Parts: sequence; structure tokens; C-alpha cells
Amino acid sequence: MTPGEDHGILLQKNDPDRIVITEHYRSVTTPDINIGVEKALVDENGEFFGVAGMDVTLENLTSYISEMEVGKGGWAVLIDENGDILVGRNEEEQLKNISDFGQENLEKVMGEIQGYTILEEDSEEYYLFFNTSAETGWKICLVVPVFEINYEVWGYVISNIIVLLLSLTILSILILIGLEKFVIDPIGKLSESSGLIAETGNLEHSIKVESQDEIGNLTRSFNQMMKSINKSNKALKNSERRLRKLNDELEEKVKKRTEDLAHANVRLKELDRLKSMFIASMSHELRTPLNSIIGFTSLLLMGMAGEISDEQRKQLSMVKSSANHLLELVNDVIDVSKIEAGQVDPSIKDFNLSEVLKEVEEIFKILFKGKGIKLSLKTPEEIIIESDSRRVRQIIMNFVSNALKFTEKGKIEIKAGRRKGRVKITVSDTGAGIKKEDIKKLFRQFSRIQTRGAPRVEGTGLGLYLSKKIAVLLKGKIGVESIFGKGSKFYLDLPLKYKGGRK
Amino acid sequence: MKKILIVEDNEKNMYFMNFLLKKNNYEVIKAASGNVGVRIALEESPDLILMDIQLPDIDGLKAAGLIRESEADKKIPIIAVTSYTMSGDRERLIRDGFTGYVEKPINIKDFLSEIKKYL
Repeated sequence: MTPGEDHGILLQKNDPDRIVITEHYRSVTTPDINIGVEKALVDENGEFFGVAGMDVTLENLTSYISEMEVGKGGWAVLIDENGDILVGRNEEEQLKNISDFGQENLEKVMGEIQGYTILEEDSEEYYLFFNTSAETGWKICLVVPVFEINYEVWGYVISNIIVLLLSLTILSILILIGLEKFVIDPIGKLSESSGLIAETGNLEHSIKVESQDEIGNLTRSFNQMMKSINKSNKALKNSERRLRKLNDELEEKVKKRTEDLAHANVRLKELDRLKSMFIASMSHELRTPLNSIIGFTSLLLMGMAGEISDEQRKQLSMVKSSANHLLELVNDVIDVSKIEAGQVDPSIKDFNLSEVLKEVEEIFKILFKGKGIKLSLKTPEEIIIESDSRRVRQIIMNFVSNALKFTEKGKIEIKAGRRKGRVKITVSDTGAGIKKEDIKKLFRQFSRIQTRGAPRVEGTGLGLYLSKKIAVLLKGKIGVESIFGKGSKFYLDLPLKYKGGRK
Repeated sequence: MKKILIVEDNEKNMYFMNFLLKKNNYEVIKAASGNVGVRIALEESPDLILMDIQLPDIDGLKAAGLIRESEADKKIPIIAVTSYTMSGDRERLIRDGFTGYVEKPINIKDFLSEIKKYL
């Protein structure tokens, strides 16, 4: 602010209610003497938070005094209450203290309100007349050469001096009045406003602008600033309100979603439990009657309950076949459900894959009889593999039974071979083959490939889907290569070591 | 004539096995629950037991265990008659004291040959 700032702030802190006129100081930018007018800004708790103030340049006063003619060889000096020279003959004298001149007579000037004394300079004697302004404590001094006084008529000079002193005193009073009206008042209003703002938090406060000068500018700037702050503050409050609203809404939503999720989760767990129960119950309830149907039909077919006619045998065979098909379907559905529910743990141990394949060949040999299709197996004598033998058999049987369904003549071949820690079992046929666009659908559930012209083939629609699930369970993979019209080759690829196999 | 105990709660299954075994010259004793099965097994000392697994009171596993605990030196062959089972069940059944294992639906030839194995 100004070089008087520290002092001003100190004063304000001690007595915040007062408007303070600081001590004079030399302006930083001009040779002039300045005084500061300052008022403390205090918040509602009486906490000091700043100072509003301005500098007043005593330019007019100094130029007036320094240019004043006092007789022929005299001059005027303005000193403050401490004896510091505010205005002298020249800039050098400014802010020197009169005691610095080392003249005993000058002590009288500081000791009395008005009077005169003798001053010596360059072997010349001068009369120094002085008078003190009651308002400021400043003293105006007129210095006149002694010879001039002696030369002129005493009375004339004295009256002249008295008029001058009086008028100078009046001038200082006028300055003070001016200060009051143009400086102290507006600053008081400024501080009042800031006090009000601090007290009420109401930023919609402006100050009535009366003056066009710097104080007026200060006031306008202040008002402008208040407007800006007010605007920002409103925007801030709006944003804050919006943000809080959004936040509340968000929290509400999150809370609701969390609750929904918790509910859904409970419901899902319940559904999962019901599903498991349903599967367990279905596996028993559906199979029991089927087992009876198949069992008694077999008894009848074997003639154990008495002789049966050929027609009865034929029809009973159809009953048995349908019952077997239904049982197969039920078993597949249960298998798929259990695997999908993660309820199936493979039973892993070492076994000879070649033996398993031989068993499959044995089972199917009977079915191939009279069909005109040759079934062959090509496998090394021993392939020890760490896996689930029952599940591997299930997949290979599915492959072979599919091949049998779609092959009218030619051959079906089961092959197995090791390669780089894995074993690949293939079942190839010389059947109908699969169109390229159908291959993708092959491993989906209930997808049945229909060959035009060929009779609809009986199946569950779950065989390959289930085989794929089981293959994944055994850390293996299954796939097919096929040329439509020429035949298909299904394969199962498994790690030799289940525990070392990649998932 | 060899004496076979059938522990089975389902009437039709019981009728089927009873019919099949009688036709093949076996004497049949029937029990419709696990507890009754255990009691008859210990009282009558049959030559072989066909044991259903899912029974109303104590299941076939527990019944077989109780028979194994209480019987004298002579070990009665106990054959489990189970529904289509997941792999691993066979091993568990043998560990739990069963001698053999027959899967439903019963294949007549397999069923009779499994019984013959232990008599």
C-alpha cells in the first residue's frame, strides 16, 4: 500500500473504530509529502481482517508555502508536531528535524504554541515567527531577516505576519475539512460496508458514489468488486446446491441399487438352491418310472413272463427304445444342469485310454452288425492318461453314436495318438458330412442338423453340447472337420496330465 | 437255493427284482426300508443283499455300514442298486462296504451275471 502501511495497520489493530491519519511520509514517486488516512476492517467477531485507506499528497500545500513571499529575503516553513520539516525552502530541508540545525533558540518553537525567536544562518540573524494549528499540531513558521524588520516599520511587518499566520492556520483547517469530506467520510462508508458485509454475509451491499475523484474511483472499484464477488458467490452457491442435490440423488440411487442387488442376490441364491433341488428331485423322480418301464419291457421281451408273438415283440421293442431315448434325454439334461451349476467335479486318476476305447468299440460292435458299416479302432496298446475315464468314454460314445446315426455305408474309425503332452482321439465317418454354415451350430444346445431327404434322426440335441462342456471340464477341447457329402471327423484333445494341463 | 435279501422301497422295482430272481431260482426276502433291511440281514443271514441307495429312513450307505459293523465273521456280499450315477460313485460305494454295483435301469443279463459272481 504505502510506506506508512505498517504503522497504520498497527494503529488500526489497537483502535479499530478510529479513522486514523497517519504520520506524514515522503511519497515514493514524487518529492511530495504524503499523509495516509486509514480505517480498520473488522468482521462480526471483531476480528481485524484488513485496512481500507488512501494516500493524500500535500502537494498544493507545499507548493503554496514554498512559493510564498515573505518580505524580500524571508521564507515560510511548515513543521509537524515533532519538529520535522514538511515544507521548507527546498527539498533538502524536507523531513529534517529542526533540532538538527543545532540552534538552542529553536527549542522555543517546539515548546510554545506561538511566538518568535532568533535564528542564525550564515552569520545573518533572522526572526522566526511561529503559530500552531490546533487541529493538526503542525506549526507554520515565517523566517524574516532581522535587518529587514529593522528597516521596515515594526508594526506593519508584525501585522503582516499575523495575517499570514492566521490565514495559514485557516488553510490547515480547510485541508482538514476537505480531508473529512472527501477522504474520511467515503473511507468510513467503505469500512461501514465491509463491516456490514462481514456481519450479515450479505454481499448485495454497495456504497453510494458521490465523488468523481480517486475516492470515488475507489468506491466504484469497491462496488465493482463487491458485484463480482457477489456474482461469483451466487454462482458458487448455485453450483454447490446443484452438486449437493446431485450427490443426494446419486447416494439415493446407489442405495436403491445396492438394495435391489442384495434382493436380487438373495433371490438368485434361492433360485439356485431351488434349481439344485429340482435337478436332484428330477433325477430321481423321472428315472424311477423309466427304470420300471425299461425293466418290465425287458422281462417281457425275454419271454420271462410267458411266450410273446412277433408283433408283441416288435411293439415292446419300440416301447423299450422310446423309454431308453427318454432316459438318455433326462440324463443329458441333468448332466448339463449339474455341469452348468458347477456341481460336477471330475474324478481324476490315471487310466489306460486304449482300454476305454476298446470297451466303446465292444459296445458298438453289436449295433453295427447288419448295418453294413465297418467299425475299426486304431490305437497304441497303452496310452496312460490322467483324466476322468467315465467322462472320456461318454464323449467318445457320443461321437460314435452320432457317426452311426448319420452314416449309411462305409466305415467309422476311432483313432488315438499322443503328441506333445496331449492325446487326440478322433472319430471319423464316411457319412453325410456337415455344411460349413452348420458347423458353428453343432455344439449349441438343442441344435439339430437336418439333412434334406434323410430321415429325421433321433437324438437329444444335447449330446455335443454336453460333450463340449465335459471336454472343458477336463481341460480339453473338442471340434470337428467335415466335408459335406463325404464325411466328418470329430476329435477330442486332452492333456495327458490333467493337473499340468492348461485351463 | 441261495437266499437273496432285497432292500427296496419302490414297489415296482421290488416286484421286478423279485420276479426276475424267482424265475432264476433264488429265494427272496424283502425289506422296504433301511432299518428293516439291517434287522433282517442280521437275523436271516442271506447269501447276498441287493441294496437300493435312496431309502425312506436310513439310506443304503448307512444300512450297509450298520450291517458291516454288526455281522459275524462271514461277510455277506452287498450289491448296490443305484440310479445312473456320476463317476466316482462306484469307488465310494466299494469303500463304504459294498461288494458290487448294479446300475438302473437294470440290464437283465448284467444283473444276473453280477449276482452269480458272488454266489
